[in-house]
Amino acid sequence: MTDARPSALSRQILTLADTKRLLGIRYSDWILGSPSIETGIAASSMAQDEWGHSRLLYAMLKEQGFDPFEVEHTRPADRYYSSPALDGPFGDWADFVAGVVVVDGALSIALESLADGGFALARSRIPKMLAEERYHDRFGAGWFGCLTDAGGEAASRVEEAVRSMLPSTLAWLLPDDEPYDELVDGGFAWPSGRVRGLATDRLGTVLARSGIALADVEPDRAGWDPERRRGLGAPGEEAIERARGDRNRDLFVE
Amino acid sequence: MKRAMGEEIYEVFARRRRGGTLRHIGCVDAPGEELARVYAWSAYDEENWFEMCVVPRRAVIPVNRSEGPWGDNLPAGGRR
Repeated sequence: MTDARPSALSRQILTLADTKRLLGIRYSDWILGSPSIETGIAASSMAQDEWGHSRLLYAMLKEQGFDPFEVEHTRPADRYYSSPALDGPFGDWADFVAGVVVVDGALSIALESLADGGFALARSRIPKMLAEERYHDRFGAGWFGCLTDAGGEAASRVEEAVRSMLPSTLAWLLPDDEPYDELVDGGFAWPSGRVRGLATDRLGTVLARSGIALADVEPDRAGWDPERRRGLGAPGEEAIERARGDRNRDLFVE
Repeated sequence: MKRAMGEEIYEVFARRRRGGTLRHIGCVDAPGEELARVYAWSAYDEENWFEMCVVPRRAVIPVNRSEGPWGDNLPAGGRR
């Protein structure tokens, strides 16, 4: 895996799987210490959803000539294709909520696009993921509304968190490069304009509550790496050790 | 217990299959209906429920209870 340059379709599957895996880790950090027992349970449930989805996505790579076990358990941090917004942990609850709305919301749109294309495994497996994601959307919209309506520090922090995640996440959602064009031409993903339109509709409606106009936010493509389908940087090492399961290595069973 | 951000208690009901009995399965604290739905779904997912619903506890009309959590719902001067 580490030496092979993935095809446009493999790259798309990898970025979805890696982003879900990292998002699951970031959610799991808040199972304890979130605002209430109920939010902790929801964080746990969402973390497990993300990990389950990522495993299904990694398994799709087998058909693309990759060994899913190797992909899941052996790559270093700088070979991860995840969204840059997840490189570090969520610093506070506002970051968590912004992550649900912005990153998880963008992920669902990218998944929907893949599921609507010509890749049979995606067409059959992704709809159940999207059904589970509806609860993540509701969680994000509900909490975003709570923090925004509370005003003061809560509202300004969540707005700040969203604004810091949006440019890199939009670049991740809307790659402006040849492999993405190839994916669209092959009928495996929607054109960027359609993806952006859905993002504006879906995420934009939620974010408008804090006065953020999604249509005015520009993707930040600084340092874009077309192979990893993301901008500069890499996830933190501690998260990658957990993602790979380094501490369970002796216990792996197939 | 103090509740944060305007939270209130929602009672959670579910039925296993179409036509089955709608049973009370628990409760959640939530700041609104939308999050009550999410919390109920994530907290009580031990079954593949056919139907689940939440009801704000304040909407429950007491019939024969004069004490306990519903006692406060009695009208002023009501029999206790």
